[in-house]
Amino acid sequence: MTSGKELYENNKEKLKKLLDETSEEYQFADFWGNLASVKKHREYNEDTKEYVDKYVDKLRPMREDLVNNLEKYTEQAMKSIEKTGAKVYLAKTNEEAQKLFLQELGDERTLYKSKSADAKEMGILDACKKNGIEVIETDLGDVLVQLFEYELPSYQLAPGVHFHPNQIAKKIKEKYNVDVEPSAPAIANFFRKTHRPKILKAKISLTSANAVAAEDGSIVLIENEGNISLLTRLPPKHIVICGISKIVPTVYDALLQVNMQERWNTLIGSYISFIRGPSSTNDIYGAKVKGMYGAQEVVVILVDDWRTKAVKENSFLKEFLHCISCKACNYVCTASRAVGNIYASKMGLGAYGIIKDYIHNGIESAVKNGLFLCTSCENCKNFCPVQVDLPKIMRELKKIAVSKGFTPPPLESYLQNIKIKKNPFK
Amino acid sequence: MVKLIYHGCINLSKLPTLCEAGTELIKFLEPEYQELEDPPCCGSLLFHTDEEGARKNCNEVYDWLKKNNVTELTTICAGCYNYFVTFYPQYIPEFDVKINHISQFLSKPEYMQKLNLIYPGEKSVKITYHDPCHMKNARIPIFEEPRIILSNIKNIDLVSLEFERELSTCCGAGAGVYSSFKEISNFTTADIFRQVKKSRAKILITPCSFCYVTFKRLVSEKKPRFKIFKLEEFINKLKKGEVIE
Repeated sequence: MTSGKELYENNKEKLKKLLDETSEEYQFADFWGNLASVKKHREYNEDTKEYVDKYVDKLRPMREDLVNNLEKYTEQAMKSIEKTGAKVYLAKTNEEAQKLFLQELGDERTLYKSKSADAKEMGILDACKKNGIEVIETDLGDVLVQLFEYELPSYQLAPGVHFHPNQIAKKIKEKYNVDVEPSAPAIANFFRKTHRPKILKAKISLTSANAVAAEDGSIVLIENEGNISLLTRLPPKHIVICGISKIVPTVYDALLQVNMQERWNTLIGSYISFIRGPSSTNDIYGAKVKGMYGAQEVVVILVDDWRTKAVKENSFLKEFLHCISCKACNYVCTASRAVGNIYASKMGLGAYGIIKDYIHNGIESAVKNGLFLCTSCENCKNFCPVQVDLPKIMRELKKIAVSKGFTPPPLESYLQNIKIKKNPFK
Repeated sequence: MVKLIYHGCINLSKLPTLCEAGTELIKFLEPEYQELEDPPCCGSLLFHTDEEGARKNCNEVYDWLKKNNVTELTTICAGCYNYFVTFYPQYIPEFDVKINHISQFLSKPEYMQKLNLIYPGEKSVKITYHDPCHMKNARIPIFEEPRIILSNIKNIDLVSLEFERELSTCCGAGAGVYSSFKEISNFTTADIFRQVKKSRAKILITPCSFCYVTFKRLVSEKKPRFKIFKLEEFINKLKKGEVIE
């Protein structure tokens, strides 16, 4: 087992990369420190502010109802989704979800997907890689991440946002031998031309869901690029994979949740899709035919993994289930703004990413990825539309880390002094 | 019935001049206030790291306060204020010692009147105030009291920072991070200094000892053109008519 000293030294080594202007870590931190700020976060336009102020108080009670009745709503969602004509699974673990996904993929060797933090978290991408399945990203941010083969964590809502247009144009030249003007419109135009025809050929698509309404089985997705609209309509088969904490009681709650996800971040997408099963027609003599222009098959894999266990055991992770994954906490995190993706895991920046890392990879990994960089400034909680108490969860994680001997040595010395000498500085 | 001046470990161990300033001010306004020997640490980092240790420490501190008949305490440490107000009632539901931060103590109208603070010089000076996390996140947050004190000083023009109150920028020192990873405060303190520069303030006031230490550490490197004072340090200097430098 790695010691607290080794993990601390590992963190310090990573932080040294911030002194090297050519390092990927420096470049991300430099960009992120300027992009993310409390002020920018709060400077939403008046329409957005009006919406947020009007509805934000409804969000926490709705999420509490969901979390306190998670099994009931999951069962209801399963029944409702089935009624829509979609196939629905409840995977108890991430591993089971991977198996179900591969089974549904069948012989198809190419997967077209939208941006999906859930799919990454559930190991779907790793399972594809392991099984030789080619993954075609369609979200431009993920396309850029793929283009650069970027392995470090980034901002989940715009995973390629830190790449400079000059860098992108250079990379396009390198990879495709095409000259593209280093400007956002020219680069977007290039990828529109290369990727749109690809999406049209897709046989199976994968998306996550921003919300799933237990009441009527609606899968709700928000986007601004149009890739999700294409992926959910054009390929014959559409697979949805998401955690059961994406379920909400009603379709109105779903709309509230997705609107808040967007508007809290001042990112207003162009499209909101409500998907209830495969496309169909009743136009030929009243007979229902499943599958028309849109998807002929819709498969929904709901994943439990740690979620109902957290509710049943009333563990500190139960609080995390209230999160709607808007990632606003990323934007206002003191440590994230200071050190960028050094305080992060593959599952996200800041406390959000560290907590997910703990859930899936354990406390040692969470410490390695910067658990003790959290300053407890509580911005994440203060600016969360659901007031999720991430600082409390982080305190619990630090307590676990300390009990396992993963304390950074300077902190350990303070703690011992408090206990023995009743003064950390003696 | 003892009213206690509780300086906090960081001040007692590292910043004795702040303890002196706090004591002078508090005793000037309420002479019955006392200092006790060897006060125990409020527990600070234990609340972030050790459930049982925090509980045990809370009980020991509460016993110590009871043994000394302390019914009210005033602290010059924003951290102690936060931990006493926010965490102690969670561990000790019957916790009944009245807790004040020095800004709450000083901002009483009769005390402001008694202090009659004047900034020396003929021209007014711009000063600004930084809201620390310990005060904005406490169960009973403190935003107004320090501003009331500073606004009551003659010849002073209190100006806002770009990020203030609940939007205030963290100094990067909380939860023991300063002990292990000063890299965070390199960035955040530079950001706070940028905001002070933008505000055109000549003086930055902080009520938090952790922010104070963090800010002071970067003074030699960043060479800001403004001065940094802890709240009680600044007020006591004005009270004594000292030159602000």
